[in-house]
Amino acid sequence: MKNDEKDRLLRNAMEEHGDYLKRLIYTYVKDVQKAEDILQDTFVKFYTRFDQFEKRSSVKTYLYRIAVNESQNYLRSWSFRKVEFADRLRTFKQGTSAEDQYITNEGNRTLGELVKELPVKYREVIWLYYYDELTVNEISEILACSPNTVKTRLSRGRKLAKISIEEGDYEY
Amino acid sequence: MSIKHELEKSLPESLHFTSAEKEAVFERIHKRKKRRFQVLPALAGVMVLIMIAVLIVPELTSNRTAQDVTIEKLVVPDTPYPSLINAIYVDETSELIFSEETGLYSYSESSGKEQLVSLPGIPYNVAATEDWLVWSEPVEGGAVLNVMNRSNQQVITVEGRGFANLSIEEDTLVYLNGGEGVYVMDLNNQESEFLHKSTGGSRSESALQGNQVVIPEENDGVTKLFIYDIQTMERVNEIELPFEIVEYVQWSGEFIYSQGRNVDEMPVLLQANSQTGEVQEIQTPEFDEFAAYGDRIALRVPEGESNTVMLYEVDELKVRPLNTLDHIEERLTKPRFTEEGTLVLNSEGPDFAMYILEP
Repeated sequence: MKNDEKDRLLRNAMEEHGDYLKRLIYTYVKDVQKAEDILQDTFVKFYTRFDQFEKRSSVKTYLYRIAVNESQNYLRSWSFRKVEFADRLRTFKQGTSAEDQYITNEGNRTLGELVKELPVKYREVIWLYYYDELTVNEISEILACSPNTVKTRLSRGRKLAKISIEEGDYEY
Repeated sequence: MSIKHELEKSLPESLHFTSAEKEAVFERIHKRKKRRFQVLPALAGVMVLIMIAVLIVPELTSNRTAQDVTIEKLVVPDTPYPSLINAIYVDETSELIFSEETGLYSYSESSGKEQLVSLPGIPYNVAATEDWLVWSEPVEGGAVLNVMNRSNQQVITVEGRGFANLSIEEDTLVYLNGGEGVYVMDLNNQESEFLHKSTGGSRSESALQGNQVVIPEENDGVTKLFIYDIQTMERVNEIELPFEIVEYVQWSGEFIYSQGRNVDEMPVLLQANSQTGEVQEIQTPEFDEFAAYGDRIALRVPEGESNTVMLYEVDELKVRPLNTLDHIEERLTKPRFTEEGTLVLNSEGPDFAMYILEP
């Protein structure tokens, strides 16, 4: 593919999906600057690997898959774990443990806060399904797992975040 | 209020992909293109010197501290070492699951030691998650597989030629059926589907990640890694490792790790990219067993006349030692990482404690 055509596809992809991808990455890394870095990496990889894109999936799911992989790689890295440890240490020095904070705030917690603290495997499916409005099949493609796995995680994530599907709403 | 709107409210307001960031992406792409043609010999020389300095400096510094893990010491009462050496750690429930001559047990600090299943002998193979407990037993003419749904304790038994190398991902079990090959079972209805015909066998079990599994096969002095999608049941990649023997195959992120060796040689640590098939060697000290997760590698390395496990950080295909385990005096062995990145170790002190390092 010619570079002009690739540039055009990249620009379209950035316009169409950039904001949503940045927010999705933020839900993993919880740091605006890091989300910016990973989003840039995502689009650079999208461009450089475009010739490997087999069009078995849509551009959207391909992009989301790169973004999710990049975010998960960061969560597995030592640099993330050091930041996380420093945060935990700060909380400890302030005399309030994460558990204390949870108990104190539980009554006032919003849906967003409940989802934010879910384990990654539940949090990511909730975001992809409810915020990015992807189908179960698209999510299974992005996360490289079966649709049944996505459904199970959605169901558990909903339970933990107190989302009631009957009403299409949530309770807490 | 819609769920989408509620989720959006939990985000910082400034989370937009700005024009400046978009231009930065183009800049990075165009710089990459230029860089390929503009590296002058002198500049290349400087870069080589910088790279040498980067590689040497960490070697000169002492072991680095990895304070970002919590280390828990678990002493399981009245349990022999051979039972603990194959114990499985379940992150979601913080429990160890292991087999003894009288059955299958779990142990956690909160609920102590509990018998999960009473059995007349030690089961051959066991796999466990928060939701499922699966074990196989030999019977005349074959074997039985027992599938327990842990939410209701219901056990369903399936007969077959053999059930080995059990591994579970969510509601899917992957297993080796005798010399026949690898099967995939939906644990909800115990229906199995044939995935891969064994050709040479392997000293390593297969490794699962998401909806993909890697199956090693040794043949004619080389080992092939066959990668399948267990949802579509299609082979998606095949990677050749130039070693007669490949052991401890593990999958973390985009890389498949293994230790390769030829007969009578020391093993080397291999990193294969599951998508591109590129295989590279990670430089390590002498070792004979390893576990890998993300950028962490646990190696069993020589210590005096014996050996023990040390933790390393891997960077640019080299490992750098971390002193995370230095304070543990007992000999450590059998490193394994869980799916969530928890490192589980056995120790050989008087209490045969287990060490659980949670990230």
